Amino acid sequence: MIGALMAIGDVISRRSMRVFVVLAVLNGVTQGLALATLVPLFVALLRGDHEAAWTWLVVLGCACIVNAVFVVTSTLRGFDVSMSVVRDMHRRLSEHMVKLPLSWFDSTSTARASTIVARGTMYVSQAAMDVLVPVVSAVATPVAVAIVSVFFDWPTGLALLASMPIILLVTRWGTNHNARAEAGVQDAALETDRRLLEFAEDQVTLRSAGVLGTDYLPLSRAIEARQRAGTKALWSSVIGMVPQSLVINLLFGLVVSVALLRALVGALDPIAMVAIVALSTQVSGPLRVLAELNTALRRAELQLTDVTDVLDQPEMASPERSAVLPVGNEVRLEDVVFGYDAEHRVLDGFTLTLPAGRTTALVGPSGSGKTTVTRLIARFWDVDSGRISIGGVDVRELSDEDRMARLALVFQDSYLFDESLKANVALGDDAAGDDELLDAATSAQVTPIAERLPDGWSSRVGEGGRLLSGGERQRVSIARALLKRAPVLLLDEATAALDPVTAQAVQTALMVLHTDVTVLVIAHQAETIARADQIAFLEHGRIQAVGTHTELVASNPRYAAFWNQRADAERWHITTNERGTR
Amino acid sequence: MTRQRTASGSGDRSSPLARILRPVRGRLTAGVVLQLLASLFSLAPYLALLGLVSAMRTSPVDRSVAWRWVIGYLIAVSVQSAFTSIALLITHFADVRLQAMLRRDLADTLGRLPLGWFDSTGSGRVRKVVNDDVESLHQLVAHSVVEITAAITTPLVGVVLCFVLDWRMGIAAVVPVVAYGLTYKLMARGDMRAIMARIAEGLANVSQAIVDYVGGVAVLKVFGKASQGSRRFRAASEAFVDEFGRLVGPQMRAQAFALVWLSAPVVALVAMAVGVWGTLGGAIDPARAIVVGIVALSLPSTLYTVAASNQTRSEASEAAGRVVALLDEPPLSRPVEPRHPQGSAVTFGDVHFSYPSADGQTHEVLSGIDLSVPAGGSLALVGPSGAGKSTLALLAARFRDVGAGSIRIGGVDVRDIDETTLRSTVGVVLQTVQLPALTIAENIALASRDATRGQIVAAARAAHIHDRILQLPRGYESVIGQDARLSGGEAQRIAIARVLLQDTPVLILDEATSAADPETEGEIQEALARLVEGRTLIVIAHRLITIAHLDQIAMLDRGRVAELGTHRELLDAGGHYARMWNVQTEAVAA
Repeated sequence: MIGALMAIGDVISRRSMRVFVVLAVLNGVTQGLALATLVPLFVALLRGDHEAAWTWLVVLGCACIVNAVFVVTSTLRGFDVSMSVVRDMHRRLSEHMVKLPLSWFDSTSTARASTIVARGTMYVSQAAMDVLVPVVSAVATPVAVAIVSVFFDWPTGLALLASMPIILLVTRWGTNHNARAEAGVQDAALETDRRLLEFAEDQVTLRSAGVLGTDYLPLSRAIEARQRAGTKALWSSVIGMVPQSLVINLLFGLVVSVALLRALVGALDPIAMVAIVALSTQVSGPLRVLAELNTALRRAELQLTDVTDVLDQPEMASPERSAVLPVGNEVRLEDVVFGYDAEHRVLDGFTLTLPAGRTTALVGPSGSGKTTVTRLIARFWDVDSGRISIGGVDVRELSDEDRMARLALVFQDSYLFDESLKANVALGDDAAGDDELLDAATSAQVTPIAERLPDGWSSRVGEGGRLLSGGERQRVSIARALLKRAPVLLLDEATAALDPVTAQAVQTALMVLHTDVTVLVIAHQAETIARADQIAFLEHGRIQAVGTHTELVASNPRYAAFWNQRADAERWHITTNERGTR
Repeated sequence: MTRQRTASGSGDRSSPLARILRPVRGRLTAGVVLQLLASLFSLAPYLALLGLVSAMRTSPVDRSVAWRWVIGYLIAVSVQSAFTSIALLITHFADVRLQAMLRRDLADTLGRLPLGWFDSTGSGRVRKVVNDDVESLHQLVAHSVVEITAAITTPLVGVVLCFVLDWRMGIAAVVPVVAYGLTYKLMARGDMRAIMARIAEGLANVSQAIVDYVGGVAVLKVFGKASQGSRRFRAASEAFVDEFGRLVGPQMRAQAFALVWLSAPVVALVAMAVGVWGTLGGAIDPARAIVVGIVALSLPSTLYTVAASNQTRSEASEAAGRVVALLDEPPLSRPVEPRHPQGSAVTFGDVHFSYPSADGQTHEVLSGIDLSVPAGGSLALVGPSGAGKSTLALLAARFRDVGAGSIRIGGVDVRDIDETTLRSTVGVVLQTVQLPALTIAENIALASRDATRGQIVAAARAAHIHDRILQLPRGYESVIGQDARLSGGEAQRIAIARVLLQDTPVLILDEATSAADPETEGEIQEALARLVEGRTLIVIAHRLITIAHLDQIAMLDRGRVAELGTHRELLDAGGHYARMWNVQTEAVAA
């Protein structure tokens, strides 16, 4: 636990942590030694030896002062350490997560990561403070008492000392036993988390399907499973608890019996024997506490494992600095092979050049990998083989900064941050002046959104932008991309969610941009496709044909069929009289 | 017409914590009683010890008496801990039960809230309440109730014993505890409850920042702002940690110093100082002094739990407050005397609707809409985005309640139709499709759980998705997100199959034709064509041609009906609709 915490902490908090552990140990040891002076004190008292009693009382007083110093310092240091543990964990997690390949961020990992970062880190830091100090002193105090009692009567002292590792072993066994049961609860808890979030997020669908509350079976099943797992874990902990306390009580009885036997044969002062028996309560007490603390410690360890699991996810290796900078804005994809898993290749020998300053439309049936192409250029994933270059430089040889400086991408699904509308647009370029920002916003038709919202440009857009409609979110993300003025623009269904009038206006703004920007566009509007400088037809993982619209319609029957289908779809209407005909 | 709110607890004036704990009150009481017994039993070891001391002081020592006391001592110690364990076990079981009950109640409440609630309350907050808060109650129910009982009664019993043995020693045993309290009080400032509330709020904010950050990493990466995003998140975290340190720091320092009084050596020192002084004058029996010293040693550890569990308690009551606040959120009202719609005509009568905005003001999006669709008729809603089209259409499905005016289906106000009837009357296909992580079959039958496999397959066929489903690894048993990864258009067709199976007389299509993957748009259109047959129809569509043949077209602008009529009439009127039509037909012709 301490090791894992140290691994997460940076140099300063690591030193701080070491100091803390030393202080906690000293706290426990001095406490044990101070308590040990009670044995001679009790003996002196019962014998009526007042002089000795006063002497030992003074010794105890001194021991108290020393111990007090460590009580105060270890508690204060513990608090500092737990604060720096939270800080370090948050820092490490935030730095690490941006370097993870995007493939890691599916909904499960996102939910999990949020829980881990929010709850796990607090839990771990709290454990550092609330559990570690008692654990250390629970171990150190009995050991100190036992060692001191060896001096009074070695068999009793040895029995006490010998029982400790056994108690620790039994405790550990019990803890592991509990931990196994706890693991089952953790899984069930995660499933409940996931289902509850899904339940809240999919309310619209569930509600219109008439599924209310616990009518939603997966959720009620998850809750039930969690309850079952919890109950099972409890019974299992009972099974662990019974032998554990049996062994501890037996050992304790054994020690007391040895002490009594020694006293009865006259080897041990009977009064000292009573004192030792009484003090060994102070030994078994902390050890009992240790059993409880151990469970808490295991829990913290589990949470800590979750944190380190995230931290151990492989990062996407990117050079700190680009060896060579791109020349020109041509984008080339050469013989690219890529699949999300080993069995299914999405792209298989994909070769395409996006000429600098021209617009290329990528078309093809759904699932043919068009979106994948845009993401590969932005290096959300790495190709399995082949090469993708911008201005002649492999994207893998560019630093994150250099690569992203050249690219602007409008996602199909655009995420907005829970900040002001303006801040969300300004993400494209922090340095941009208000004029530039307004220009981009106007081109992307964001200005009407600001007019609609109660607080104008400073209106918050809600988590993920949920206070805006899908089309509005998309307009904001287009404005961002425009503001960025990157030489390569990747548009993936950029205007799909817009109403036709708005889409028309946005398209025009994008056309103006096209004059000096390399554009890759994925779109379904026949008009957008037809206007491109070149059209690339993607099917079966590779480019089947490249050319202008007229060329392709004439030369490629698959493209022609595809085109006709599109045109039909755009003329479709719902009929009133004999609904259902086209 | 009288309508009442589902009273999940209105009129209940007991504290949130008491309300939440009510279902497990019996079990908690049992745990407390057992712990009381355990506390009483805690006297036994000391009495045995006292006996042992006397036995060992007689000379010669009576062996059997000594053994008897030792065995008695051991049994007493074991029985005491056994009682505590059983008490804790009972409360742990109570906790598991309570947690499940609370989660169910919360889910039921969430499922009855107006959908607007989910817009203004981020999922981070839902997570906080539903998960963390229910979890923080765990500490209270499972541990604190028994532990607090132990922490109060065990030392009390011990102190009483001390006073009975010798009143001066009794005072000596109590001194450190009083000193601890005074020191802490002198040094600590601020109201712990208020501090805990601030911490919880800070934690909720950090949690929100985390959700926001993790969710947006992709965007940040694209804009080369990844490091900036992580900085922002860290700023939130730093702010929280700083605030936490600032709030809790003084308390911690006070605690660190006050704790010295409760450390075993100091307690022993005080007790034995009195003990030595007392025995010196012969006023106190040394055997009793020793036993009191040992009893005193056990006092601080139990008191320490009081301090710790005090915090848990206030944390838990904060949590309970938030849970109860959520359980008490006003749900959509339920009709007292539900009425059944006669037919499927939809009438909007002077409908007003406002969204609350951030500054507490309201923001009217619909201002007096009058429209009606006869049974089997059709209505298109068109207009610029933000004109209130979706809001209006979804009011008919009672996703929210009108601010003023009414919406009637089959002559009955939607607020007077019970939920089940309403859902089987109005079907909805939205632009964004949500498919929960269920099997394909379960997804299609989401609204009609007793549908046979034959019916499910028939619906899938009609929605032109059957063949695609068969290509999935486990066909209809494939699970969304696991082995069924569907494109937007495919997901849309699953949603259409769902509504086909639901077979509602009224149907609302909100941009249902603008699916994300256009190559399959043709198939979606065919599926929709099947779906709309013979239903009362309200359609919102981007592409005007889609709705040009409907019975009526209403052009909405800033919350009002600006134009209303057939396609022909509106074109002839030469208004906004005609202009939009021209823009679009040009585009298609290009």
